[in-house]
Amino acid sequence: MAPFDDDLTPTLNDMNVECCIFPPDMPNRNGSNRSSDNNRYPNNGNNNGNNRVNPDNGNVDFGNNGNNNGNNRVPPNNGNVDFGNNSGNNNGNNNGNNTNNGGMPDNMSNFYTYPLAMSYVPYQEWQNTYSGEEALQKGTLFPELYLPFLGGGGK
Amino acid sequence: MMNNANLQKALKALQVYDFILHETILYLDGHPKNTKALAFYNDTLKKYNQAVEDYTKAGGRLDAYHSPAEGSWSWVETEWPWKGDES
Repeated sequence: MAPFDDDLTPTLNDMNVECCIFPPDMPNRNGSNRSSDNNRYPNNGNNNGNNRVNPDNGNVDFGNNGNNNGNNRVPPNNGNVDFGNNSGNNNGNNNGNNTNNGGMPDNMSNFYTYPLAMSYVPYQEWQNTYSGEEALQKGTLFPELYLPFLGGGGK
Repeated sequence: MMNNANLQKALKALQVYDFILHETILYLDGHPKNTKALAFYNDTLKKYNQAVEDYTKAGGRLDAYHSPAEGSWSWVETEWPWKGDES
């Protein structure tokens, strides 16, 4: 199915999946690191398990791993690293810039050491449009894009 | 100046059609073969062109390249077309 068709029912093929390309220096799809990832995960040794990132809290879970021999750095927001139930050794330095304050890290030079994420953008479908007056007032022609900022009191 | 009701009305219409035409252009940039968007664009473009004509006939000046200079410089004697609604 072409991405530009007029089908009003979005399907996975309508999604902008072309961006989901894994260059050679990126981690495997399951999140495990390869030794060739050292340019992005400097000073890492072997991470033989699946390094999972909990989508709710960003915690990195190294549970049930083998050896984690490198510098295991943590994401900026809460930065909890869980090495629970590991059968191997954790020999490295855990150098996360862990501020635990929910803010940005103090040193953005560590940015490239954080776990990667993937994003996607569904293709917009042509649906109903606002009248001209309403579009001008709301700042968009498209009802599906009318997303007013509701501050802290919104739904 | 811009206290002519027809001119105000024409300007408002022009702003509306200019906005939704531009929104449609942005959509078409990403969906260049969408037949519904193309039809909407063609329809809106006609209305936009009519709005430009109405605005100009009512004495409005969209830019200095289309401002008659007969005896005085009409471009600066009219309200700017981007002027907002003060009400």
